[in-house]
Amino acid sequence: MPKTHATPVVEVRDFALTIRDKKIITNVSFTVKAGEVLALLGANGSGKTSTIRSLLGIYTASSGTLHVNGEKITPERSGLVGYLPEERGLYVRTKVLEVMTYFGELKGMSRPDARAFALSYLERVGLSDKAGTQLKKLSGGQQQKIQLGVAIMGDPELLILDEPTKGLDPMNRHLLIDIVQERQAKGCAVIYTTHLMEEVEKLADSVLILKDGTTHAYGSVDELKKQFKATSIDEVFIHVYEGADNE
Amino acid sequence: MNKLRSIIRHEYISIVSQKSFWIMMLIIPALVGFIFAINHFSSQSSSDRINQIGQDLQDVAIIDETGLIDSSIVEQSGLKLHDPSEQDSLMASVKAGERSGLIVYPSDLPQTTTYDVYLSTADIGVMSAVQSTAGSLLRASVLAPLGSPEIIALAQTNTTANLTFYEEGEQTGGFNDYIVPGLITALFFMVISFSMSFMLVSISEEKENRSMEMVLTYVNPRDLVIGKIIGVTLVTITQILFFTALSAIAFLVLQSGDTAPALPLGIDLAQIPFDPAVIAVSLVILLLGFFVYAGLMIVVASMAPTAKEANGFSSVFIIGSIIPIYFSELIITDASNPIVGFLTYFPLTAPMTSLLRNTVGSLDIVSAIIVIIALAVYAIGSFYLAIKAFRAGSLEFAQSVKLSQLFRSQR
Repeated sequence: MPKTHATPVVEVRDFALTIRDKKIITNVSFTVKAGEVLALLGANGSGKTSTIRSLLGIYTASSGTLHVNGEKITPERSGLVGYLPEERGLYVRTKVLEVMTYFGELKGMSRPDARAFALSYLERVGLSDKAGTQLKKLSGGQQQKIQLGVAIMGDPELLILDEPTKGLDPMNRHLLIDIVQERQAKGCAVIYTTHLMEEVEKLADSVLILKDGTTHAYGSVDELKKQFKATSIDEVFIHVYEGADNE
Repeated sequence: MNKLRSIIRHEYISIVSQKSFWIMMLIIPALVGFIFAINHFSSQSSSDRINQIGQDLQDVAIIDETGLIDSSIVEQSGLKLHDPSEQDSLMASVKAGERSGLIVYPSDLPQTTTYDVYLSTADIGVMSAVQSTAGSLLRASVLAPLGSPEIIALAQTNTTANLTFYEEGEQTGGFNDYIVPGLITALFFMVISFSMSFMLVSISEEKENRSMEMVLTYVNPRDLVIGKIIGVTLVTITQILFFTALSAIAFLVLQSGDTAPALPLGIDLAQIPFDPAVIAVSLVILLLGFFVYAGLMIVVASMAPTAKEANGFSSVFIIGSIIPIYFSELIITDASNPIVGFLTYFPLTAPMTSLLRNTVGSLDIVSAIIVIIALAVYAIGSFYLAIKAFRAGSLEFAQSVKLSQLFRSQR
């Protein structure tokens, strides 16, 4: 069973974001406790990635607070977070071990620690023989494993995965789910965006559905099913999007 | 600080560990050496061939209507003077290919300075040999009245002046003074030509391979920009040291040979002065100019969505750095010209123009201080814009960032 704690790792209150005079997010609030997985759902352009970028301090919120362990995320505190963006990629002309070590250092790890973590991760995912290979010489699936390894380097307290299974083959999807559950068991909070509702049912403790930058549904999986009289999160999602359109 | 060090190391290693970097570093001097060698050997071979052809062309006929050509000189060269009345028959034999050529010095040669050469072939070697013979015979004949063979030889030789320069009563090094600041100017050109592409690629690549967002999660955009600039600066220093070492080796090898190459304009390598003030001013201008352009490359790379678009747009700025070369004659000869004044202080042309002026000594101390202050301001402005553009454009993967968006970024 996942280990959860009362104190939230992530606390977002009355968050709003305007970019170049365009309102992207309005009044969004949510929390994620340690060991909890929050599925952040919404159609393309609903504001999921903007919310994540604001939480990470890449975008500056127009109003509201976005805290991780009670404070804003800054580059100095970014070691708390492991992030797998939707638009992801790594330095293709650099060797695998060097890329992983570099990102470990950027997360605040010492170079030897980052190398040690990278080597042990490569061993785990069966890529130890590729440590000295340029990323471009790896297959797409192997590159995805490296991206995931970079995200979990340094045992982050918060793991943010933006469309993590997009483009993943079944093997890597299993690996990802295993890693998420393993992190969760260690008390890591997880924010997860996806379009695959069966994954949500399998992994998420709570769900937040965004539409046009505002919260349209927020609660535990069971609470939302009950609230929307649905048998699955898929139905809840459809109700939020199509139901609202029909009104 | 640790992250900045990691960024610098990553930028540096990711460039210098590429095979293409070292191939380019070796190709350039190899190409220069190859061209130099080809030119040297081909001119030697060409000269030998023309001499050989000249010896083989003993059937070339000469008609002199001027009375200037000395028959004894013609005979010494193994050729024969013919009467002008024979011109038609000689022409016919050349046309028929029975005779290699005919040289006709017409009576109006002193007025027109033109003579005629008829050849039985379009072979460039034959043409050069006959032309060379015709010119030599004319010069030697005209100078023959001088009498002394030494004086005639002197009149036909490119003589050399031993140059001594004075400035305000003190002897100066002349062209020797220009060598070191001139090399720094050449270095700036090289730095702009090569290093700016590294700067551009460094940003564009992170956007194109989509690693930018992961990097920006853990690093402040300002630190990333500074790390990249320092990393590329270190790559540039590596290039400079490499080329300097290669040049030194080439120089030592050439000097150790029996025939050390003579340098033009009275340049004496042993007499090259190292004026600390002049060198310091040139190096500061080079460094500040590098920063101005590095900042601009970051602006371009951040605002363009792809490396291809960034590359196209960057050439506009790179051309700006080269423009002073087209005005170099004016810059060297007339520093007080308003155009030179404009080029000296305009951000894109200031580094190259002031380096050229410092090379030839027309950048006085007051102008040097003003230029350095101006370049420092431009460099700070360029960095400010670079960080703004980077914040606005580093995560724009699909479209260019408009200038109007630069100051309305959310980051």
